[in-house]
Amino acid sequence: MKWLRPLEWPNPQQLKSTGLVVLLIGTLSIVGWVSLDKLFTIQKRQSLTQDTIGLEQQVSELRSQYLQAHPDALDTHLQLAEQRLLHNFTHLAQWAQGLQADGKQWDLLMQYRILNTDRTASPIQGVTLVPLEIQVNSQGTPKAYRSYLQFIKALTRSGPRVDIQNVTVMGDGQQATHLTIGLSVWMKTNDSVEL
Amino acid sequence: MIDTLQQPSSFADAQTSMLEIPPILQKTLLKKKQTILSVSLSNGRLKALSIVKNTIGQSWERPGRLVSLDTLREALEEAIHQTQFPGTHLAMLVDHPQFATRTIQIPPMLLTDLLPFLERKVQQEKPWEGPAAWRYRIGLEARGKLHIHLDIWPQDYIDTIVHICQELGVSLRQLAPLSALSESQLSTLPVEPGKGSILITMLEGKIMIVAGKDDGTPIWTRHLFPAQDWVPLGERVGNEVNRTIMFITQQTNVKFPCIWFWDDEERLTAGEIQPHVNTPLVPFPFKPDWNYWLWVGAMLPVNLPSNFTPTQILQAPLRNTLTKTFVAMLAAFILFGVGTTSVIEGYLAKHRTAMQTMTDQVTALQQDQAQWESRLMSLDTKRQWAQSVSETTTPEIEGPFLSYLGSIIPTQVILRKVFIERTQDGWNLELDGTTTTNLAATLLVVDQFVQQLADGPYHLSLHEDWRDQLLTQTATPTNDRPLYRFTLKGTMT
Repeated sequence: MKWLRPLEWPNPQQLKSTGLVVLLIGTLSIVGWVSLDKLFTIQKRQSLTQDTIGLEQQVSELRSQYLQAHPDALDTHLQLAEQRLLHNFTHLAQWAQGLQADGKQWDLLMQYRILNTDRTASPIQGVTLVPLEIQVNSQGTPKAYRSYLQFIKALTRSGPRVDIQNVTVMGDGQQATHLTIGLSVWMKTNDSVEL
Repeated sequence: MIDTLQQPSSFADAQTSMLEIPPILQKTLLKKKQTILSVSLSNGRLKALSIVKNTIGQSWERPGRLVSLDTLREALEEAIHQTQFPGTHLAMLVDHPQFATRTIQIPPMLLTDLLPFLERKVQQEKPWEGPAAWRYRIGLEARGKLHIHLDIWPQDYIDTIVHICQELGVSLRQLAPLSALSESQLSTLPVEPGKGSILITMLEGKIMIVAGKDDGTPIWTRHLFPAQDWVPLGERVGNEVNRTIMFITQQTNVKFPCIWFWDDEERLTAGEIQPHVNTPLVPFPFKPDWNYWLWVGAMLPVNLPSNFTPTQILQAPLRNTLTKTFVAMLAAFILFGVGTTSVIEGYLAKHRTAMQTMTDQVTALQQDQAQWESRLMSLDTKRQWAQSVSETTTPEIEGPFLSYLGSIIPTQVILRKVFIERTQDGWNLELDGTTTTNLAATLLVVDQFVQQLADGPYHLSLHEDWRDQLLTQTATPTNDRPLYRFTLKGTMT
């Protein structure tokens, strides 16, 4: 049992010194910890104040930018833009009928067809480009070329956004007999509509 | 050369110097009014004087029995009690037959050489077995020689006194030989500049002849014991004084205009000495009693060369003071820290609601900011969309071009086909036509037509192969008119 050494207690002076040191370290630790905590709290408060000032400035600037952007005028712009879009294929048919009616004024027979297979990808969200081919024939009018020009003018001013891809005027040596127009009309994208 | 005049040294305690205490601090401590018990122990007679804040208190002399080291503790305890001493500092002036005093003459040497030399000298001179403590002082320095004054005490004696002081709870500040009293008085005597002074004192039966410079620094100390009964004491003292003066005068040329003498009428008077010396004897300016010497002993500086108090004992009060100061500062720091933290905590508690409000405000502002950013982004997106839908980037020139074409086409030319195709860079154009004139005229007409298309408002770029087409054709008569076909191809940007 040599390994079992008797427990040696330190003398009272050592105990007192050790106790004092432990007490001192403990007190300093607590004071330091609490001080540090308060320091962080003060820092957080300062940070909050800075954040408040910064955010108020940013919100003020954003509000100012928004007002300068004239949000009231946007509705007008949107309405004007939507007027240049066909709402659906019914609207497209109505629009085409209007063109047919216009063509009749100049003795022109107008026919159109939707080119499903040649549909162009839309560059703008919410808009579908519908490719069309319009065939216009003269019904015996001697000045068909001029009528064709008037029809093209009527087409471009008919309201909806029309992107003409190609125009072909055919003649028989005496007069212009046939007008073919390849174009795309802009239609609002409607999820329920499948081309 | 050695410059350790003010530096006490002992081999037994090599780092002796209490001079580790900064001089400024020493001065501050010395200026402080002292409360100290001054004790003299000579030939077994113990006398004590209590000094409280530089004011002389009660004195006491132990009656009867002689005090030895064995009874010193009891005697000191009684002295403290009898003088009602309230302090803790103690100054002891001791004279004991075992103590040895030597003055040795050596050549100048470095301190590193001197100390071992003195240690060897001490070992030779000590009249007892066992360790010795010693202090040295450089005295006369003349004619290339140093005179070292050595005080040699038994180390056990010092240790015993220190131990007794510790037991009694007093702090030993001064433990010096009685001769230190006489030496300290040199500085109180009026001396002309460049002259020397000699003081003869008789303390507890021991006659001391102390010579010093004009600044009071002792350069020579001699102890005489009145043991030679066959020579009258006055004559003997006179002869020794004469010898001392002659020796110092020979060595240094210092003149001594007078000899100061502390008159002890009981054993020796100036009248007994004066016939044997030429230099006039002058009585000490006042008649000191033993309390005066005790007072002087209490006021001796702690850095006295002959102070045998161990350095660690001397430094103990300073160390205690520094420790207390440190603890006080630490306590003040803790109190300050706790106080400051409490104040801050109080302040924060008081403004906790405001802080919560501020936090809510920041959150609301962040939400507000996100909303405004979202609105701005939405506005911008919608505006771009409306702009993209409304504004056409490429002009629609098909109609106007066909109209222009109709206006410029020559009468000799009949168009069979007009094809306009829009591309990314512009338009491709194809005109297919015929003429009813001869080749030369056709070439001319078509050339003019092409030129007009190129120069006109649309600036067509047409290929030149139409000319080859015409030239390679054979006229096909139609209604007796030649017929030439051509195709114009080009681009418009």
